[in-house]
Amino acid sequence: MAKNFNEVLKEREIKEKELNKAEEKEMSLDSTERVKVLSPGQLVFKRFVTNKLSIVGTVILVFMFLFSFVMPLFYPYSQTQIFYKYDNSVIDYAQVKERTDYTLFMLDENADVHYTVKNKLTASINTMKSTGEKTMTLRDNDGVSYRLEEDEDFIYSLYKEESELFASASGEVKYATYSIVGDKLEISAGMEEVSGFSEALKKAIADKAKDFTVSGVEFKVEQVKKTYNVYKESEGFQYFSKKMDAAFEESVLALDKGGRLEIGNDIYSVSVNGDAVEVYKVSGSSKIAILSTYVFDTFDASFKITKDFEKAALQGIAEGKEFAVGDVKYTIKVDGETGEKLVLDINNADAPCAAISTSVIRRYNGEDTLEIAFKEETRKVIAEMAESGKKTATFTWPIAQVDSNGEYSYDESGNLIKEDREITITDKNGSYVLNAQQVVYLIDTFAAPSSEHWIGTDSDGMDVLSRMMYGGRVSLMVAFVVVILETILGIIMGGVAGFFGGWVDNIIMRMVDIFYCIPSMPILIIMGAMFDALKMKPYIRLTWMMAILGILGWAGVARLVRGQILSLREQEFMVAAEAIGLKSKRRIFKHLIPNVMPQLIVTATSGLGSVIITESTLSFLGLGVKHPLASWGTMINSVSTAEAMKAYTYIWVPVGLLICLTVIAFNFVGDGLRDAFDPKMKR
Amino acid sequence: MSEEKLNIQNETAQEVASAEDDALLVVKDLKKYFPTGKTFFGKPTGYVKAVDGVSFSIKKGTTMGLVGESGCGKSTTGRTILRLQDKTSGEVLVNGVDIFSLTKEELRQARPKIQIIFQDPFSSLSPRLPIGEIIGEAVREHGIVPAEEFDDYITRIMKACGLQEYHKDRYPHEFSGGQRQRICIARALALNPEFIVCDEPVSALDVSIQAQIINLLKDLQKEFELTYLFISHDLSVVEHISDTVGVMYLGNMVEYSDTEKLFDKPLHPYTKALFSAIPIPDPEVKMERIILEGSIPSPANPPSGCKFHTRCKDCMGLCSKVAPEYREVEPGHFVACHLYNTPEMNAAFEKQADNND
Repeated sequence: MAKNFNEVLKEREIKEKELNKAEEKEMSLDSTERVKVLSPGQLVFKRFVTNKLSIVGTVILVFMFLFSFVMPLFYPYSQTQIFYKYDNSVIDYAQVKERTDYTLFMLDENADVHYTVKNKLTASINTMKSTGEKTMTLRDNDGVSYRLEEDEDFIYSLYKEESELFASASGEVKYATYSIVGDKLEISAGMEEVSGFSEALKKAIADKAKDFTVSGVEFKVEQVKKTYNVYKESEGFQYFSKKMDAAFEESVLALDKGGRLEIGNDIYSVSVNGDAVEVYKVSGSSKIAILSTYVFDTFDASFKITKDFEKAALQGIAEGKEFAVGDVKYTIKVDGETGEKLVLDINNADAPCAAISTSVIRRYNGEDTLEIAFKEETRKVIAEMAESGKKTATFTWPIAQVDSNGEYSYDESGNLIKEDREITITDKNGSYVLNAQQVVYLIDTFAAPSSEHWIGTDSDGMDVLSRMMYGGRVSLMVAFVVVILETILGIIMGGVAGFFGGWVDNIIMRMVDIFYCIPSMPILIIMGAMFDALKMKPYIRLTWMMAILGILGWAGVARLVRGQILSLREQEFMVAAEAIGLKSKRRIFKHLIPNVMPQLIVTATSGLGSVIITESTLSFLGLGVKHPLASWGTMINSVSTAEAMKAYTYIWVPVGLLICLTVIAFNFVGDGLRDAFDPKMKR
Repeated sequence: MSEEKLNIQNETAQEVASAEDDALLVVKDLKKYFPTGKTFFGKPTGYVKAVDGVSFSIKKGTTMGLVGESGCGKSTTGRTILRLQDKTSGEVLVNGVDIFSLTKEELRQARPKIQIIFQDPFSSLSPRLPIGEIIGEAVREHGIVPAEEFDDYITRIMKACGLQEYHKDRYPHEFSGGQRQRICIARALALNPEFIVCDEPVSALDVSIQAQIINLLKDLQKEFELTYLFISHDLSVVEHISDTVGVMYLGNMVEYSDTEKLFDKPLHPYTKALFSAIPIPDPEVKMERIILEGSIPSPANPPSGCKFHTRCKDCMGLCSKVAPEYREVEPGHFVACHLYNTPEMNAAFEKQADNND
């Protein structure tokens, strides 16, 4: 080649210019100035914006993005904020309960009551009540005896007695104890040793005999580990200190359930245990405690009922006289008609300071003490109910109410403002429940649209509009991340398969086939269950979900890309690109990819829509985005039952509309882009 | 095919090459077989012998026409010469360099010197690139002109091919077939080539545009001393543009000569039949057409002996048995036909035929 093209053409141009110099420059028909030239990007844009549907889609999408990503910045509520309200509601206001457990007030701080006795005090009192006995002797495991004495209907005194075993009578008496260890034989007190007993016993033990006879007396042997107890037939009463006459024995045996026996100045306590009768001689007793079910309700909240006051008062009641706590003297007044007892303050002109009863009246929430007047009224009504045999009764009483801010209101003088409320008392097998209308603090669920919550609140009392915005964030984010992920995977896999072909193509396409035949729903359901089991945090779960959706979705893109590349590779322009000596990088990125792009963009954009639908479906089924994260699917899930759907249309209709609009908009934009990218489209 | 015959062919190829030392392109015994079908283990079950031993050379600044009916291997020859596909055997020398001995990168860098214009101007342009980019991308890649002259150069090339500057930013679909073919020509020319394979460049175009393109090619050749391999089945066009013409039948070159000689006095029966089909634009002249019977045999299973013997009206007993030798019958006129054998050769071939039996 003699000359370079460029040089030849340059020379020619210069010559032409010289020739044309003289001539006026004329605008020819095909002059560059006449033809407006748009860059390829401008052309695509122009074609896109002249498509009405794509404009509609773009506007909707822009709105969705602003709605989801910008509006929450200016919206006062967050997605997890729970709203409360105050509402009138019949609630359990108070409870009335008869006390049945006797409280033990120790008078002697040093004395202690054995727990076996302590535990059966109430039961013993109930036994006494049922049998009508006035006293009862209790004995603990150490043989210490206690005496319960009824002072008053609901007041009992506990005495500790000093006593010793005085006499006993039984079918069998313990004659001796023999221990193998040390070869010790002990004859019980008051028993005369029978001659030859020891030898006979040892012989019986050696023979493993249950009984043996020595000098006409029959003995029974009982083995307790390494000790042998020997019993013999009783010979009537056995006295340990002083022998008594037959009249005494008769009167003891008359008390077949045990009891007390007073002969002269001596007091005997008899306890019967099966055949065995034991008589103790009581040498002295002291009052150590007082038991009562009485409850003191004060008239003045400032008056505190102390343990000392209770002890003193109970003693005062029991003895029917004045009592004093510290310097203050009190007296008990008993209403003749109702039997109501009041504690009067003698120092303060006999002003009543506490009422005594056996029933406890308590607020359910335990937050405040009830006033005495209310309690008295309640007791009166309950008494009437008991008389007439009615199960329910009502009365009206003023109750302080909280306002919508959860606060009580006060008048000028600082008193609580109260409103009359009807209170219903219901008998529930001995205890009574008081119901009243009250303003209470509630989670504001399923609130209808209002100025505060434009689209109302959902089943958790969260603002629906706010959750719609945050749900949009999740849905759009999931859609974009998943589509980008599957597109990248698809381009790489499909591109490799298409460009290299051969066994690489074969392997990748078989992988695509496998991914195509994997049923994605069951996999996602299993994954959802697994995430539930692992108790994953909502955001980590979301990330995993996106990854799984992306991995499950790349096969379609890969197949598309591979198909396109295979067909393009055979096109003559690809051969031409090789013939003009382009590098393979440039051949791929300038010739192959731009020709695959339109198809890819359409698939990706409509893929965005379908991913949003998949995500919503998963969340609706409770497998995707989890509470408290909002997603459009979970929001519809919260009203998934037929009744809820009917009643709360304001929740699912806007959310459903958002999903529909977004998916439609993505499809519009996808179609618009395809048309715009396709230079052959003449629209 | 016997060993002896292969030897004969190789010797001929060598002769051709040595005779034309000043040739730009020398093709020696080029073969291109396409495998057909595969067994389970990947072995081909057979081959389509698209090009079955073709030898020729083209002098610098001349045009060689390559004619033949559809499917005779013309385009395959053209593409294999450019190493757009691999050869089966043979040699292709461009300026004395074997194209097939180059590494990929060397080949890529040698590409600008050897260009091709495709038959179909519609599919040979990427639909997503503007014309300026299509023509200029390889210019930039190979650094044909300095960067600052790039734009002007593209404009000049386009003007030389009859395109306007404002066409640069347009896309291929905005052009007519003729314009597109010009774009293809411009793309090839922009690389400053020495040799261009014109693979039926005008067959997709209407006649007026055909003339435009042919004349454009001729003008460019005159101006730039280009060498063409002009593949076509349009004989009038070939006659118009070519200096020498080769006739191919079923993968073999059957006749080769200067254009004038060949058109005056075709020797091979196939060439005769082919040329008799050239329409003469004169209603008074009665055409003496030689009608070939049957259709072209399958290149996967070509006939024995002379591949043309099944359709040849001058077929002899020898033709079906032994393939004829491709030899220079007259100075500069090569033909492969038993009709032009010397008696000694006949004797040799008959002996060979007997041996084959």
